[in-house]
Amino acid sequence: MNYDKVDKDIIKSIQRDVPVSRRPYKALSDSIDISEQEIVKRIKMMQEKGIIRRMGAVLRHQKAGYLVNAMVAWKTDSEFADQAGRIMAEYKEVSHCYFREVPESFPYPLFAMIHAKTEEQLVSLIDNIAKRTGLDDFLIIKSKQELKKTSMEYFNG
Amino acid sequence: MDKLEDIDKKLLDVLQNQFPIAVDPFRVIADELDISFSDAAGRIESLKEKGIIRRIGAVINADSVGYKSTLCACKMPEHKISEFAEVVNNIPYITHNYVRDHELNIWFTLTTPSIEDRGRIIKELEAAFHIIISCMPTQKVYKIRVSFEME
Repeated sequence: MNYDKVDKDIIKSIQRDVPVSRRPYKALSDSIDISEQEIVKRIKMMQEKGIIRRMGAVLRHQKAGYLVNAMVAWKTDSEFADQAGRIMAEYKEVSHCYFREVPESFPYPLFAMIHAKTEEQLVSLIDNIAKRTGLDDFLIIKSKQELKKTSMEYFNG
Repeated sequence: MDKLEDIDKKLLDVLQNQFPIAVDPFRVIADELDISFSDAAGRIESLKEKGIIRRIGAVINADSVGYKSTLCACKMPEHKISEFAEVVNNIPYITHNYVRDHELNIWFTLTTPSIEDRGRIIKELEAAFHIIISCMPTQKVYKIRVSFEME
């Protein structure tokens, strides 16, 4: 494993909300008894190792003006998936794009989360992606209700 | 959404994409935008209160800390959805849960410390709600982007 107990303690704290203060890591520094400089150094290290994907603000996209969202699942063979996935990844409106293991009853393994400001924008984006990738069998699966949206908390059990 | 001032949009951009890894990140940001610390802090707090900022912190790569995550879907009878939502709210390993416009009407993400934990939770939910849950774990990632452009 390429992180230790101190890194875990840091993750437990910064995976939540870093306080908006002049010295946001001061309380953590006191509680785990290492300097703020050491905390910052370890955060940088964990970023380099890819343990921390990103530090910063996580927004609610609806409130940021991206009101229309859809999960689009595309039918594709795994040999074509890479090319299509790379094309989809180029779009700034595509936030997530994955190839998934799917059951036989749902043969649409390539998933893209698409965010747009208007319905028209969404439709034309999907149309554009379909043309560029050549994938014409897909499902637009919109969310009707958000039942839960939280951030994962690691090492808490 | 209220119209945001340009300075708030800049703040959101920096907070998302160039958050300084420093002992005093908010002071660094204030300096960069040429505003006072207290002005920056006040604006950030207000963006949080408005619900535009969900939180400011680390986004962890589940795989790299040994966690296993998967997307799950199931067909849930309409009248059981609220009960299911309540149960899910008490499962910390399920972070996203949506009603969607498809025959598979419930979609959620499950991130567990192990595959065994995943199996146990899925089994419990299937038994409690008399449903079959399909797991669709990621095989390949083409993109994970978590920031939004402010226009």
